[in-house]
Amino acid sequence: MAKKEIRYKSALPYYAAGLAWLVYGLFFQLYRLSDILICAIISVLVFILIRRLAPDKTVQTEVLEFDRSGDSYADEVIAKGRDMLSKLYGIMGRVEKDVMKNHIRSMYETGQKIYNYVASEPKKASALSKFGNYYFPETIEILNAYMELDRLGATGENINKTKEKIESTIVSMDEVFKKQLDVLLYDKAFDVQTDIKVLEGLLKEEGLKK
Amino acid sequence: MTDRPGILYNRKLGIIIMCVMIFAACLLGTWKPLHKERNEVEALFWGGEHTEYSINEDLEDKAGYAGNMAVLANKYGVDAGELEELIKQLKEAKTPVQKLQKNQALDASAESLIEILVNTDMSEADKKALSSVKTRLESQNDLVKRGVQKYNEAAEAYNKKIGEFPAAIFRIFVGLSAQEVIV
Repeated sequence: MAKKEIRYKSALPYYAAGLAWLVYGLFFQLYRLSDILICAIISVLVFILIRRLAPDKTVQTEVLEFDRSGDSYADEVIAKGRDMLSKLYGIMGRVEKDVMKNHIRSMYETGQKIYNYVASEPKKASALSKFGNYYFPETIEILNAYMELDRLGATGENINKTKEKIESTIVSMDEVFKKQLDVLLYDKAFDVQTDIKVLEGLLKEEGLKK
Repeated sequence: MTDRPGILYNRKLGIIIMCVMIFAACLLGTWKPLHKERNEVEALFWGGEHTEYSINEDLEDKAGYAGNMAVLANKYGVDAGELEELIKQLKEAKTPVQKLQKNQALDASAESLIEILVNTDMSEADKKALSSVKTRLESQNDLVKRGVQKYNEAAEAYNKKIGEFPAAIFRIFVGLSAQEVIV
């Protein structure tokens, strides 16, 4: 994840300008156009003054960045994946239950590895079809429903059961993410194993290894 | 992917709150002075705190003098039922226009009663009393006329203010209605 600085401009000038209107309205007549004009000028001056005095806030933020693969289909898959990873990251920041947070973090990290790998191996993008079009979006959907139930603070037998069901589903989805990465890397792992076997064979032939 | 800073850095929220404040300020800046002015106009008719003079007070006095005339008429067997009824109605009238309508009717009734009483054989003291009542009624009429003129001027000025843009729009939100003008 790359670091990026985001500058948030202060909203204080807007509050101050609004306050200027209220103070003017309290002491003067704001039913005449001339007064409204005078008040507008004052509020603009207040806005400019406070704009100069109130500092902006700069925050460091982490952004997901994947290299473009050069393959349009793969790029599309990666862009979609990046979008879903961002959503997953957002949910991770808001979820309160530690167990859930850990599974979401695990899914997030696995997801990053998956899409990073596709960026380096665009041909593998087609293998992500079901994962990227169904499993991942559904996971986000389910997590959003979980967050909504959490936000409403609703309790009750049915709601608790639903939440428990979602929690167990997320545990399964974490496994699905890991398996997806495993499947994706299978060829790579197989190639490496083959290379090792060939290397070992050569070494034996040369008498360099027993 | 860090949480956004709070409301002090949320410009969208800032703009929304500013707009709400501007609208509230316009309503406040319309209601406060115009409500005060409306109260001042009403005070010209009904009287009130810090007001020594009011049309309503003049009409009350006038009703009192008309009542004296009715007593005088009853003393000599002249029917003053209509005048007494109008005095009652004048006191019970709720709005300035109603009050002034009853006042006009009372004037007409009092005038015809005076005509009858003038031709009635009365004691010297009662004749003097009738003359005094007549003078007082005329004097009260003058006061009422002047008061109404002043009241109408103030009501028209107020109505003009609330009828102009943008007060005409803001007043809808603060429930300021036009003030009756007495014709």
